[in-house]
Amino acid sequence: MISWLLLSLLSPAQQVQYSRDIQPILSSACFTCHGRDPSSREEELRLDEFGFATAERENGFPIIAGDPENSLVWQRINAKNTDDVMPPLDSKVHDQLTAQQRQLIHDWIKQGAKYEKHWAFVPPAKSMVPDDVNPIDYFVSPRSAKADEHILIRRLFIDVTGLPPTLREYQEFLDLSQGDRINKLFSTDIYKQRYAERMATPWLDAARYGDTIGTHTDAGRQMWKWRDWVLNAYRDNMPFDQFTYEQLAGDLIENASVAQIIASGFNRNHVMTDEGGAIDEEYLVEYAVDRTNTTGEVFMGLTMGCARCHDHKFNPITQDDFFSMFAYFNSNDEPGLYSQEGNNPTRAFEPMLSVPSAEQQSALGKYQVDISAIEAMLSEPSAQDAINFNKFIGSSQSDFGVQWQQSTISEASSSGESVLSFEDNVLNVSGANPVTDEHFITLDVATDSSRMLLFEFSNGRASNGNVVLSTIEAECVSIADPTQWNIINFNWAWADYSQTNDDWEAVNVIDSDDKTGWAPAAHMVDGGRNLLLIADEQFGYAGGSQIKLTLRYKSIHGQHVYGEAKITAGNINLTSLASLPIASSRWYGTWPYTPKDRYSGYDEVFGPEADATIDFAKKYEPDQYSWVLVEKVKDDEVFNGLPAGQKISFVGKKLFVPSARKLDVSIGSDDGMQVFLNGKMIFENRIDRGALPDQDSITLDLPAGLNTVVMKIINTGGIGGMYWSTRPPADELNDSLVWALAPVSALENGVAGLREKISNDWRLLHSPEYRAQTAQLEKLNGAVQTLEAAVPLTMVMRELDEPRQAYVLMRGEYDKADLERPVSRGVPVELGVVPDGAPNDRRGLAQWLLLRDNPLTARVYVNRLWQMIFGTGIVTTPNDFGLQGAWPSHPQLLDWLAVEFIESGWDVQHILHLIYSSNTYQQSSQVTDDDTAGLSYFPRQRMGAEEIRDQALHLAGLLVEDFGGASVKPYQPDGLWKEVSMPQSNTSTFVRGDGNDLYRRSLYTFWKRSSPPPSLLTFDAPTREFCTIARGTTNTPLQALVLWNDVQYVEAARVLAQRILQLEAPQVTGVHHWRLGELFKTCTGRTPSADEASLLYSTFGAMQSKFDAAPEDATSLLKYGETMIDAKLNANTLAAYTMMANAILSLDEVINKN
Amino acid sequence: MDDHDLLLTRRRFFGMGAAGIGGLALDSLLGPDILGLKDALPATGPHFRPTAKRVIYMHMEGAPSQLDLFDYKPELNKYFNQDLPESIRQGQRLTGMTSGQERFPVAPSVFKFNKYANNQDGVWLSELLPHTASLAKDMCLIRSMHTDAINHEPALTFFNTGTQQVGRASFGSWASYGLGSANANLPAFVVMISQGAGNMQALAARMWGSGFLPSEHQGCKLRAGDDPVLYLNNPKGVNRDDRRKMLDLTNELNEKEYQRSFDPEVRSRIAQYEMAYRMQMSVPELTDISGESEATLEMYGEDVKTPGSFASNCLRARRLAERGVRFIQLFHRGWDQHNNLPNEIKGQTSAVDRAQAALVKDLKQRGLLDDTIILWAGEFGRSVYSQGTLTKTNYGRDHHPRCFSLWLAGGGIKPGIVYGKTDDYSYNIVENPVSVHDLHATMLHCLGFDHKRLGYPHQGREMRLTDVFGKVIKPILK
Repeated sequence: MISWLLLSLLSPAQQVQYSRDIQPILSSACFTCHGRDPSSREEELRLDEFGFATAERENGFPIIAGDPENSLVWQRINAKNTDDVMPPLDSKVHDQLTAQQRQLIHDWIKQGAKYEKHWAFVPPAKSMVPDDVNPIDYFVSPRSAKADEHILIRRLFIDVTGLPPTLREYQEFLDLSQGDRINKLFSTDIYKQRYAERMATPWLDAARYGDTIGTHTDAGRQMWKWRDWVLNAYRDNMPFDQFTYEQLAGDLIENASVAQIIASGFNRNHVMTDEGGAIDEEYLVEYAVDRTNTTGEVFMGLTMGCARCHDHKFNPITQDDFFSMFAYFNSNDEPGLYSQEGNNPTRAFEPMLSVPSAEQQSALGKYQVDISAIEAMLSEPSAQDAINFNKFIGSSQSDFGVQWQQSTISEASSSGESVLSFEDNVLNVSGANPVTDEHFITLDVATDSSRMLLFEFSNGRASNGNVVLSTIEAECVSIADPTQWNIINFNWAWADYSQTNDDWEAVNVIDSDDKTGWAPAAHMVDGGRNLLLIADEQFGYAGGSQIKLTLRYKSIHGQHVYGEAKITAGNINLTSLASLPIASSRWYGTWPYTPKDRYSGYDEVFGPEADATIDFAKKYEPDQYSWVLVEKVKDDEVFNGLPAGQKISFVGKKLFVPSARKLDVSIGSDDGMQVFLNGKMIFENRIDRGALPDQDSITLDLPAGLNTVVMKIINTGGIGGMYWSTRPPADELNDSLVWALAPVSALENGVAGLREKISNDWRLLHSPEYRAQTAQLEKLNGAVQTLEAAVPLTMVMRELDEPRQAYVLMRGEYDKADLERPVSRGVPVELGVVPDGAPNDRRGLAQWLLLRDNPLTARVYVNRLWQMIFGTGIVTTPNDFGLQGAWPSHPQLLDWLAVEFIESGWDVQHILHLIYSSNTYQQSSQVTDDDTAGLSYFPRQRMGAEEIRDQALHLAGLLVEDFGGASVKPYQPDGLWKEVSMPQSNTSTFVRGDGNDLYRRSLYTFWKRSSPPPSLLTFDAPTREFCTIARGTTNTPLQALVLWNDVQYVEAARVLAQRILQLEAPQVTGVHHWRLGELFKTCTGRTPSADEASLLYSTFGAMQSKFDAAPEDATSLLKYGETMIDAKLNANTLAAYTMMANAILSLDEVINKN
Repeated sequence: MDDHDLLLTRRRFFGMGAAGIGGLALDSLLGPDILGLKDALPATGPHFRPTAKRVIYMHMEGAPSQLDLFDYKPELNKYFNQDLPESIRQGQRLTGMTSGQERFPVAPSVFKFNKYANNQDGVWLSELLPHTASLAKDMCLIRSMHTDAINHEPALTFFNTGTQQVGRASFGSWASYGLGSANANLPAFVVMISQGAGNMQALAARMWGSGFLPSEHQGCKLRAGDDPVLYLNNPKGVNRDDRRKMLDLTNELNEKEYQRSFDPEVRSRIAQYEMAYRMQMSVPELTDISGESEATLEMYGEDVKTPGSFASNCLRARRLAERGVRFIQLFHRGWDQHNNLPNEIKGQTSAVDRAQAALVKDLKQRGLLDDTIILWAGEFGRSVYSQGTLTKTNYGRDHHPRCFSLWLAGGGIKPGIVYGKTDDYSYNIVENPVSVHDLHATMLHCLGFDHKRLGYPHQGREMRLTDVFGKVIKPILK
């Protein structure tokens, strides 16, 4: 490439110029070993500066100005001896020099070996241009004729707005001068919006904008407010210096506006991680490195990346320079590893900004006032509440028919070495404390009929004070007739406090299993504990009873026994039992079971479903799984941790009710489910869905005592999940209210704060006033939540109070900071200095970039504008203006435009106007043989991915032109996201949008970076994971397939065909000739030639016959896309026109800018 | 590779060998800029005579445990539930998932290993891979792989593109760029994904993307279902004849555009549209397995008839190889077994073992193994210490980048050998370490490339798959 370039630029008589002719050769062939980077320098030889290159060495002078023959450089590049030849034969960098290149080096040395500074590091200067000529034409000297008007209008429309003109617009613009055309496009509102949408696209590529974080879960994120900022900036033709400054430092501007802070999101667009194992520090470095590299590439046209690990081999960027730039970007107030919390696809990752509209803002304020008022009201019980509560406490026992009975301990002993005694009816345990123990207590009760036993415990004997009570057993004997024994079966248990982890619920004391038990968490929460047991029937005998109790402490937690207890028998009305809450175990689970195929799991039986009890000892085939506690499953919460994929899982729990009752339950599942009660299926829903609250409701018909409920979840793909929430009757004595039935002594003894809790629970459940207020509060909070969820969020830069100290990282590795090389913020030393007095932060960096004599910024951006229009830049390496980059094809033009850009106040449209009005731009695109000087014709270019799709929508009249807003999800083949995503990702399932979402301009398409929009990708759109300054342009068969078969294009063709058929045709013969002509003109802007017209007509005829012969084919074809069909049209004709439109939309002429 | 192939190795998405329509002279399409790559340097083609023409790369996403499959450590049973000695661990970097663990108890594999004859003194392989073990005389097992990355996303990116950071070209796209295509009607680089049973990590388009290389070199996904290549099928109601008619029209109108513009890109487009039309035939032919013998289907196992399964993809891989596709990559997901490994790994191995062995045997019996490199690998290894609760029968394993195992076969790789060695804990490498760059360099070598010379200019420097690292591992070459 280099030699080609030289041939084209160099006439024999010309003076050799170092930066143009020699430096590229030396840079490629020599500087890797004999350049700037000391770490890779060979033989202590530098050839990149005159002083080094001409200094004497042991064996002579590398370069002797004017005397190539005696210069070592010349000798070595011509050496015949393979050991001596340079660059070395085994050189891994580049091939050997060509004869042409050697000759240049010879001539350059001969002419004095003058070195000069690289052109791009010298500030641009304007050459004189005569007044009467467009400066672009002055530098380019266009040689081709002007293109046809329709081509010129279309070219200008596509360049300015990204969309082709309509037939009406061709007419409107035909008689205008080029200057007027440009002015009209730049000043009309609708064109200004389209211009913004067109101009933003390459900027989004450069700024690596996307709608997901890019790695691991590839979580969705909100960033479109920043994208809209870019749109607004282009629409308003914001000066490029302001555009640059606000994106690099908007957050640091004093009294920054919200828009300016949003602009700083430029530096947050990079890819981030939420991968569990990732290390914070590592990613903090990666983020700052990305910002450094992107800033270098976008604004300076330089690749900084090499200098992360070592001094740049070619460009004047040392490793110190790199980390000085890095230091501008490493003090953002952010984590390296982001959490996955919330799993919210519209999350903005901190630091972020909430950007409510004015209406949202005021609505939020109003809600807040109302909420505060209610909260103040609710903070204390009202007087009426206090009265009602006292009444409730005072009358509960009688209301529920509760009597507590005189109960006297008459005997107490233990099975082991502990000593049991009693005094004042209080049991006391003393003496040794064996690992396990059994306490035997006899209680004398005078009344004849009891139903309940109340234990008031205190004084746990374990070293930490905690207790695990395994089992309580009781039997009853008549005092009058001691032969009458009766075993008491408890079917319900309630404690005022139980340990929250694992399963330590009170009901464990009434199963016979000594391994399970009730733990009161006495080591964690102060106070005594009350335990209430209810039997399945009345017990006791006329004339008094003795109750013999066994309390077993046999868990694996040794010595966890109670030291004191008071025990009281009592009775309760049978009807009142229904008001007691359900006592339940925690949730258990067993999984994963594998069904034969996707839906067979509903009918296959795996074992756990048929079991009436949850038995931990039981193992189920084929994998010998058993029931285990699953703490993460909780009532009232959606649980999404069930096995992913096609798996069956079971979750279950035990429910204890003191009397038979019905219970309403609200449930959900992912995917389908069956519910089993006591071994019988009572509910089934065969469905594919994600789990949500309240998807189904069921009613359990519970007999008194132990019940077992099992949910069988049939997951047919993706993650698995379930939801369970009971709906007890409103008058139930829930939670602490049970203790309103207890004697006063229990309220004194119970868990710390029991009285307050009863009071609060009462208010919560039974105060009408309180309930009304809390319902209102809930409503308000819900409204706030909905509103807040609708408030756009966007990610921004926020500087830490104390900047992080930056160091040179050895070999660029995050954990290898060279503590002896701290660096402070600054720009690469050889490229300039930050202006005096500039703040020592990103503002200073931006100010330096925008200095009048910054050699890069203006050149780099006008070059990209040029590239956008002509396909390649004046510098063909738009992201590399360094020594390895290409020499500008028209250096004076580039400099003139750069200076003009700055002098115009960085006016982007001013530069575009100059270009669009030039003859250079208006040339024909017909390829000519001789293009040695470049730009002797307008280069034809295939349109961009977005432009091709937008054109099809626009020509069909489908395009929905809403400006800005959240990203949308138009058509996409099924399954693409799922194929690559983690099941727990919130972007694992693509859900297509509807209505307008299908027809927005392509820049609004939701960009999932691990699986970008496929049809755009096929036309060379980038993944947006990193800065892309120039897209490639490929020509592949996959592109044909998109144009032919993507539903978006089939629909566009169908709707375009419909529009053509709806046109009122003039009264001429050959109406199809006319319509086909209109169709062709709509897409190309020109009337088809006679040849073309007859081709169109004959193919159309063939299609019409085909569909006439097979109308069902027409029906099938017309089903593509969501847009309604005009039923008045002949379906076969519409189908034939659809085929024609599809073909014409795929023509090279149509997908190219001519 | 024969000379004809060498001639055809130009930078191309689809080869032009069978192109040529409507009276266009094929030669006129082969100009240097015909594909619109004005800024791209032509690929060099092989630097020297290659030993392989293509690659089939089975990537086990999530990282399979070398301790339970390939790296036999019978001594570990003695250390059950003992802490991993500090002398072994040496304070190495851990992932955030186990760095908070108080203990690092050794978890020996619960699986039995058997010894199989190879071309050395035999190789011990896990009972989980009985079919793969029957390849002992064909495979080159490397037990001394190591990587730089400790988490999936960067490790997958590293293994597939040569660096942990995003933005580089994938291995397959380098192969496509370097070798071009040997089939006019199929892409040079094809990717297939199957979903496993266990804990799934993410994949991303970049893992088969082209990075800075022209995007025609990116991997083309071949999917299960009716549209194996995206947008392949005509809309319902449009048959092949209709498409032909429309294409004839398009070609003639495009040819007129060429006559107006003289832009060679127009003729290239005509050729590409024709290729698309041929692909609409060649892809269904490729994915139609009705002509496969019962014996062949039996060899791949029952799953081969389930579209999208690993077995189905293995058979497709053979069919792609037969048709000259250069780089065929299979991803099988779900190997990330942090918990409950003994149970979960069985699900994974039972999905891959039979089919992958069948693939190698099938290639061999058709004479294709000699010039096809098979690579079977995950992105890193797994830890000898248990993550979560350790019992005699259950454990989990965390990520382990310091050593892992993979195997190669065919294409000039020495068969029936074991290369490299780890310490008693399969924690550190004690002999012949092989980096990911080394592996890439070695495989490129087999394809006929000096990895230091297969480059592409980007951002001011010559980019390579191996960055500035990598050496060819000569001892594993034939």
